[in-house]
Amino acid sequence: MIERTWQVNGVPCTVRIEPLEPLLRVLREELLLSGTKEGCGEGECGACTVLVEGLPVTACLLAAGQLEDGSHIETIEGIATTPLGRILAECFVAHGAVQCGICIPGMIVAGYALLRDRAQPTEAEVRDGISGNLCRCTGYAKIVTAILEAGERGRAGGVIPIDRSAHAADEPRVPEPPAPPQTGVFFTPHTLAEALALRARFPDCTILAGGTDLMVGWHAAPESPAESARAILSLTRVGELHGARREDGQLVIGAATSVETILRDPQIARCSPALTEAARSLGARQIRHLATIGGNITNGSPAADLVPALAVSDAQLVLASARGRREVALADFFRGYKQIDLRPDEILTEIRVRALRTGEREGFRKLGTRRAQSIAKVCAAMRLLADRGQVAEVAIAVGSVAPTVLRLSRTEERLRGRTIDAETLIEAGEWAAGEVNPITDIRSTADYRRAMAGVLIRDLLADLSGASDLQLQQH
Amino acid sequence: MIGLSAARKDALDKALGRALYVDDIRPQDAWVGLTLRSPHAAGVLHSVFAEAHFPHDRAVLVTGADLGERNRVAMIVPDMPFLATERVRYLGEPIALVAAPSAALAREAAQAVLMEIEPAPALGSLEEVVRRWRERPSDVQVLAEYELHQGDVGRVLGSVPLSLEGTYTTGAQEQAYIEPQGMIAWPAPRGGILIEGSLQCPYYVHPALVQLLGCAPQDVIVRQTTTGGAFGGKEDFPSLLAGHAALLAHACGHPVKMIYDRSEDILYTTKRHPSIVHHRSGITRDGALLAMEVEVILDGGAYTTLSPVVLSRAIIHATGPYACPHVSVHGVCLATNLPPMGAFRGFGVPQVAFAIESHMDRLADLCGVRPDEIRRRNLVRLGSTTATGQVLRESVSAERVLDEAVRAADFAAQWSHARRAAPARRRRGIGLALTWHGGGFTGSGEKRLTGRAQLTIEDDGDVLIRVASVDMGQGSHTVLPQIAAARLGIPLERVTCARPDTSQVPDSGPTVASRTTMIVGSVVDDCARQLVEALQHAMERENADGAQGHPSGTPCAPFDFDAALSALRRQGGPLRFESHYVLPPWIHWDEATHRGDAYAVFSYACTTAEVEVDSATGEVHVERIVSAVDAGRAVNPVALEGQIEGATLQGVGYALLERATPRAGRFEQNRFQTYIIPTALDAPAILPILVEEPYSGGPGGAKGAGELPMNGPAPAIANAIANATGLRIPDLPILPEMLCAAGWRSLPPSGEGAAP
Repeated sequence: MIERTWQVNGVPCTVRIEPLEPLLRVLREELLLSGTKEGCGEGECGACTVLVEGLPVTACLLAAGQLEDGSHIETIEGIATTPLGRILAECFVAHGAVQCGICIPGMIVAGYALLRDRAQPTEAEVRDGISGNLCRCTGYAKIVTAILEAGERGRAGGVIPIDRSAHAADEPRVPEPPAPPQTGVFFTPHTLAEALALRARFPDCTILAGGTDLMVGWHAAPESPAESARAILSLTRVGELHGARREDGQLVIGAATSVETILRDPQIARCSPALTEAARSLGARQIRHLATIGGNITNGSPAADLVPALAVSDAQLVLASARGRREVALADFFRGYKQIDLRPDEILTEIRVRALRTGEREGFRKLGTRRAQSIAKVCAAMRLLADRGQVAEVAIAVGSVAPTVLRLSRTEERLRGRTIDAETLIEAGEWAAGEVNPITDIRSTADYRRAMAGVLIRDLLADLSGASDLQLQQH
Repeated sequence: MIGLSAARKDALDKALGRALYVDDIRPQDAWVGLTLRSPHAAGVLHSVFAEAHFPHDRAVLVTGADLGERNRVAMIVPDMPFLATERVRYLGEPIALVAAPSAALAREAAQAVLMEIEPAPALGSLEEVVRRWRERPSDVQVLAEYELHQGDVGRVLGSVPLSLEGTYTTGAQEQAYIEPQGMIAWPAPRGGILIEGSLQCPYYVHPALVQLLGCAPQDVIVRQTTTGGAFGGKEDFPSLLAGHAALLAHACGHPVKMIYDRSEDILYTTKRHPSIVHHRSGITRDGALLAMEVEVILDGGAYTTLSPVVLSRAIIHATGPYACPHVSVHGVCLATNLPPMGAFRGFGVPQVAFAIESHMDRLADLCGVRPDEIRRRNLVRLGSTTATGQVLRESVSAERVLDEAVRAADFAAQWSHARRAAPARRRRGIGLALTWHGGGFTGSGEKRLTGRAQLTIEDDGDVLIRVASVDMGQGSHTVLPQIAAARLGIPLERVTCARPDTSQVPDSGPTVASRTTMIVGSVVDDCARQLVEALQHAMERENADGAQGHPSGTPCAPFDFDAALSALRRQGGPLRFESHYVLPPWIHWDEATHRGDAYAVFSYACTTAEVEVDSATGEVHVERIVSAVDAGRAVNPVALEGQIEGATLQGVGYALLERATPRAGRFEQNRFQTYIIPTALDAPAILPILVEEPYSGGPGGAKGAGELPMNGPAPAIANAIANATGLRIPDLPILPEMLCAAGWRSLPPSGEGAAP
């Protein structure tokens, strides 16, 4: 047990917590703030949406130990007392958007975060903004209307845009580096050097970044002895691991950078538009604020959305340890299903991506189980340099079609030098389908995945080369 | 007041996070209860026992052996035990219960319980059990079987100008309320129990507990907590869970709280019955139905639960809202080794609606007429006779809802355009479905229930409605006060529903079957009418000369309510009014033959769905749904729109996303990550159209509405996909994988029939 003092709805609260306990449990059981609801315990339903440092997150996936002293948490109870929170609640009531009501506190927090972010959202933006919040009663229609109306009323009443200075910063605060608390076996180092030293001392520790996968496991087996015996090394407070920068034609992204940060970074959108698109397709906003690029890679899943985008930009992974550092090509990092080349004392610190060059274009496509909050049935990325209608250079990667994300080198090879015409588009799809090796599982069938790998590659090639018209004629 | 979109009384508290759901209630010294479940889908249970290291000083264990004869959940057929003994019939069947002061301790205790089970062969799916049933019927347990006949189908089908057969299947569907099942039990004196929980039917749980505990009825109290969605999922199941919590509370002497984890909830609580429906019909060349033969097969899961009534409703609705002279419907519900199926909004109708409405589009193709035309040709009208021989006497709106939806969606033009459109990557199409839903319990069911309501005047002069009907999100605790306030002529603020609590409210019947507004509402209305009468009499007595005669006709409140109330009080009351439902005297129903008046009245809906299909990926996006719904009279139009919009999206999920596939005895989809329900980005634009064809027996003319809009979206979407692509998928859910696997990219864009 460790002790923390947080600002909860503006009030200092001291709590004794287990570090891996979800914030949701602390809010509901220790602080008796029962307005934040639990619908699934694993980040799917959004009923537990709260603001941490002003950002919406699912409280069920946030390990309480990751929130240091002084962290700002806002729940429905606090948001309800703000002018905008009150307007939102009134609009929900007036428009009949509340039925059983269990999802509504989370909806209002999501709506609040959205309106703080975009003073005048479109209907599509509202739908996107609440796509991490499941409602089973309303069909969402009246909820969308209520949020749009609250936006109007908020703007008319001068409540929106919100004076951001009154709130915590928009990006996660990278904290001052006082001596980090080293209580028990849960470590939250503030510098990379500290993190590496701890990693050297506890080589079999569990590395905790966003927690969006790890905490799902915790939910399923809260007292798994194997987990509780292990040290936990939380990386979210290590300042060096956050943010992106340009460096000699490369884009360097810190491993603890959140997916939402990636999605919003204009520099990343210029250097790797596929990565931006992949980030947009991952989870919903509450998940993207927690999930990190490093976690998405080291989880080792073939369905990891960001990995195909990184694979086509020849990403290099920087793996650091107290002994030094090494660089590994992304392609070499994955050794099999959920098998990665990370030594026991290493930490993934940076991802180095070759920035898009003049003339190059890049895209990402995903077929999921639904239009938001979905895991890929198939996803694919392509980076293309076309010259006078011919493929000069191409990189293709496909996810969810093999034990690891695949670079389709044979298809790439056959495409080089080819004139991009209708025949090439069809053949590219056929080659791609022939190069993947998918399985049938709970999300899709092997046949569908194989065929769709072809369709996605054909579509990407057509779009990136400006040959979409050719494809249309073909159909 | 009737027809007014009043804001819901409970909405603000819910929005601000102040409403208390069951998991928000924290009794001081409560213990945590857990369920130990069978790891096998079928088998012989030899023993259940606590190992030596079971922490007896800090935990309790309850097994079925402790219960003897009381070990039966009181339902239609009491075949389901609270805890399995001797045999287990599905994977996850409760075998034992533990409780301890904390969740961690309870889990520790659970680890120290051993179950010896000898596995037996299991029937793991509907397809499997049907195969067995066809081969050797005696091997299969039939949970329910009904048939209904009219005319002479056998003779007519042999000589019809055109005939068509088709088989349609639907999978299990999870209610997916966002609040999981949960219950708290407090031990009460004389072997009684106090239950608070998330539930739809306090008076289903109550007798189940009286039976289980063997105590006096007054020693069991069941209270509903704010309920985070139910949709039928909290109709029958809470009796089992409340029993478990009660047993543990008695065993440990503490309040016991049991809250299901999402995974436990998805895996082991009831779902919509999977179905296989076979149609064989005969039709004239210009599209008039001559004969329909239908077989409805449902997967009931391991125990009977509500399957007989689900099946009964299914066969009554199986031929759709169409008049056909020769009809024969056979329905059977077979047992499998899956968790018991149960109630889910629609209650057997979404399955048969998918079948008949898919089949009607195919019949339209066969005759070369448009889908709306074939329906208009055959739909029921005032005076039509239904498949059960019921003559429809009033409030028949099948044609009106069809007209409204077809006009609003510009159906004819869109449908014809899609048929003529040149092949393209993205193909648009439109489909429609015409559906109906009988309000209230089937046949004489409402007579058995005699739903009761009370209305009392509180000390502050406000009016309290006492009914067992719960508000689970549908808004009944706003709508019922609207009905009373309208009658009494007082503001809505002065009328409230008491919290459903069996010690405080009479048995109004369950909150199911689209009956609350129509049936319970009419009883509440009658209570209010009695109050108005009492107030008028009081005023008359007050005016010593009694100059004003008693007004004739239905009393309404043309007077000062408070002045009259003061007079009534001075005269010593009465201040409590009670009434119960009286089935219309003309209703005659024969359960054995399924002949007669199945429902006092039907509600009707027409749904159109506009889809865009990506012909390369098989992805279907539903862009817009128009749902024209006749619920007699909309007491609260915004609340009714909410019912339509919510049910519509559940229908979209049923059509395209929601898949629960049994594999090795359990559903593969055990979390919200794998059981996929629609997000705000999957939801189409929904245009609800309220059509009002009043029913004389409903309050203000209202009929049932809650379930009806669930019936149409799935077949409308299937028909739209066929319109867009020419491909007919007769199985739900329709997945991109299925569209691609059918190899439809090579098919011509128009369907099998000629476009008109």
